[in-house]
Amino acid sequence: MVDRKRELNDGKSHRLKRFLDTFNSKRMKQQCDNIRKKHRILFEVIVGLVLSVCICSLLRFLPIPYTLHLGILSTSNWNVPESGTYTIVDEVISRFESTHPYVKVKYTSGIVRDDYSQWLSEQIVKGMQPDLFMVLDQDFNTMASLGALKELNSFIEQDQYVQSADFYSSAIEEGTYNHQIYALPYQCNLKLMFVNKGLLKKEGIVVPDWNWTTEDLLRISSQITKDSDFDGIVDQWGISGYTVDDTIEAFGLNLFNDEGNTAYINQNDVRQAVLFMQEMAAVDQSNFSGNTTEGFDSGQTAFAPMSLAEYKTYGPYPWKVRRYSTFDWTILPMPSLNSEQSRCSLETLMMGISATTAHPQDAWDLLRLFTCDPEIQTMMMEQTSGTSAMVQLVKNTEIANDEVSWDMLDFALSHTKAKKRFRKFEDASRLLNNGISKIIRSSSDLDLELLDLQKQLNSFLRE
Amino acid sequence: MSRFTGMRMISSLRNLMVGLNYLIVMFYSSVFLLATRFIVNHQKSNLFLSEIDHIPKNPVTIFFACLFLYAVLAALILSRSVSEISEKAANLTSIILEIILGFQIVYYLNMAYSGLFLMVFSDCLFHMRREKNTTSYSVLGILACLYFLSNYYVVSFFFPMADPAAYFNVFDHSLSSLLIMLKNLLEMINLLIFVAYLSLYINHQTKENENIAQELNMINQVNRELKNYAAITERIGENNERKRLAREIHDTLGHALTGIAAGVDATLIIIDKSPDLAKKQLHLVSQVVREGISDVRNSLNKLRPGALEQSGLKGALQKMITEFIGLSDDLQIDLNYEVENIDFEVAKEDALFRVVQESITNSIRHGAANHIQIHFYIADENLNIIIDDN
Repeated sequence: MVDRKRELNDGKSHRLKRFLDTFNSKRMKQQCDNIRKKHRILFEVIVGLVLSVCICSLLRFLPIPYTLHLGILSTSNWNVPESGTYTIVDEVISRFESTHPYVKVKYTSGIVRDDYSQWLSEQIVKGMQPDLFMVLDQDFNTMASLGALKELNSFIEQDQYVQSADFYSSAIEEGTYNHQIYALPYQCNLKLMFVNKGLLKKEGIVVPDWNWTTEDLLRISSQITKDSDFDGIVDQWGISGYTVDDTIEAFGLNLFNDEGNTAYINQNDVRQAVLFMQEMAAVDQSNFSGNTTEGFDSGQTAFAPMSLAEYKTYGPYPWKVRRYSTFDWTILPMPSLNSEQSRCSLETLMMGISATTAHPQDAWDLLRLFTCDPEIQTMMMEQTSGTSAMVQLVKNTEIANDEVSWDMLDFALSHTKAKKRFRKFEDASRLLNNGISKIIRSSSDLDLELLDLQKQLNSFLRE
Repeated sequence: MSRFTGMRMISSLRNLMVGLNYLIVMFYSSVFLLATRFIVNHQKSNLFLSEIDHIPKNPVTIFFACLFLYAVLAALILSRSVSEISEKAANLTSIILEIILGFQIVYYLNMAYSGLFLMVFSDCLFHMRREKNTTSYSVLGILACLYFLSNYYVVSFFFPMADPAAYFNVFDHSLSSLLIMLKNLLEMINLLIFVAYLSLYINHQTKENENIAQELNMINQVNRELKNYAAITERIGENNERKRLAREIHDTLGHALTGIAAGVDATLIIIDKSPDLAKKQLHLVSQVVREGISDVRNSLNKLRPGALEQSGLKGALQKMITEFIGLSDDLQIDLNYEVENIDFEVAKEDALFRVVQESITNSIRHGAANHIQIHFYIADENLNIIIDDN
């Protein structure tokens, strides 16, 4: 009995031992496998990382050619015929490619101004925006708020040749959003007042100086407007084509808040401006019925606002001969309510770098060539209707110009103001213009009408 | 058997989820692509831009990036069998990779769809079930956070991006509502599959726990039986020893004492009659006593370990070590015996042998050691024994 038990015991312990042995060896094998697997995965991950880092760093140093895409207008931004756009763009590209041998610059040609906005937004929707592109001032706010533009302050700080002070402050302000610069002015344009010197002389009126005011404008226009040959029909007018916008800018009115959700129409400044506009309407050639002559060209109108681009286009021979050869004329800055304040708004065609560009430094080099290079900017001034926004270039230009004095231009440019724009700005401005034009012609209570317009605008802005 | 069918069910649900999520991801990226084409063809880009807060990504890039990333993610998930749990580091690596891939896809989709994290969640849940609680909780917590925070309205607050809903709204009203309905339907199915997966998983887990508890119970019972058996064996051994002792005493001391008693009785009777004969008789008794002493000594010797008796302390230790090593494959015991020329008393040898034996047993049993070093040496007229294990 005892022996049998002992045998049983021995057998059991043997089996246990064998089990323990096999278990141990299995576990060890599994452990070895696991360690090998772990090492393999770690190894693979590390090799992958090292390889990708190597490839990335090599790609950076390898001279692999790449392309920068450029988005440009093929026509003038200021609604005048122009042919020199591509000359300048091609010049810029050839200069850029000579200093950046591995970069090619490509652009889509033939996009006219009216299609440009649509074209650019299509590119953005497709996520294929060009690395560097022109920005119309009306699109700037949308582009900047969408984050489509790269912030340029850091580039300007790093670049020892470029400072924001090189440009007229209003031009820089046009490309500023939330206190950051997102675009630099490529060319700009502003309104100037053309004066029929001969007509003023005939009436014994002295041509005012650059600091003239809206009061001067109204006074001289009233003196001029009359029936000079006493045939019962007024044949001499004070002004032609002075718009609501011109008045708002001359009065320096801020009619919308920064966010673009509130309009401030029912205020005393606006009332004064509307009264002034009503008085101006009385001396405006376009308000006289039966008038068939063509405004300032007739030589019978003392003043006419005209953009610098228009002047530059029609100024040179043969345009000039056709247009203004019959009378003596000069150009003044636009008048303002008082001599210190800004006279009109600046229109700019800006250029900005896409926020998604893969080569921001190259795009910046190209942008710098377009907007900050004196030679290119001089060329642009000579060949297109636009004007440079660089202070030194306007002051010290050597471009021959018989009628426009560059000092006067400098004065006018430094007295411009950037338009406060917001998303619905264009539509709101149109609505405001129509409303005020109606008020000028109507005879009902001014305060009530202004209040009504304010309500109308606010509801539009907030919808 | 039911365990395996449960596992297969869970596995197929997971695969279904992978397929459905592929459909959803491709649905989103296709809608982005088609909507973009629609916008450009219908010249609605200005309107579209006025409705979003940030420039959109290139939809073609989105489409192919999603296709590629999802292929990698699906390969990663499907390559890991449900029933097999890989090693910890590999497990964690693939889980982190899955999370990163999932996040990238969701980011490409402008945070439009976060249900992808449910898929990754369910995959991780299964593979993390043997991990420590803190690890698995933190991984699952991260995934839950990602699922709830991967929302356009939350993320665009910090990282501006194009509103994915705007892509659905560019189409005609009927088409866009159809697309939105389809989108919601797909997401709902995904959610339903996730819930089903979760309940199956919990079911499976409770079953498994039950099984484990049952097995533990069985093991406990076996253990108890073994203990009883050991106690019985010990008692039997004790009994045997007692019997042997009794036999031994009976055979040796008993005989001797009986002889002595008889001899002394005889001497008492004859001491007066013949002192010479008595003397002779006492000599005989004395001889019996001596024989008895020698017998008792022999008996005592038999109780000592056999090895010690045969080959001294060193030989006995070596023999014991060989026996121990024979028990296990990876056990190594080194003996450094520097007291060859010293003889110990029997009792001391015995004690030393037992000390070493108990130490080795303890270090194997309790310390799970597989390398033991034993060092015997004399220093300052003291015997030192150092037993060191790993």
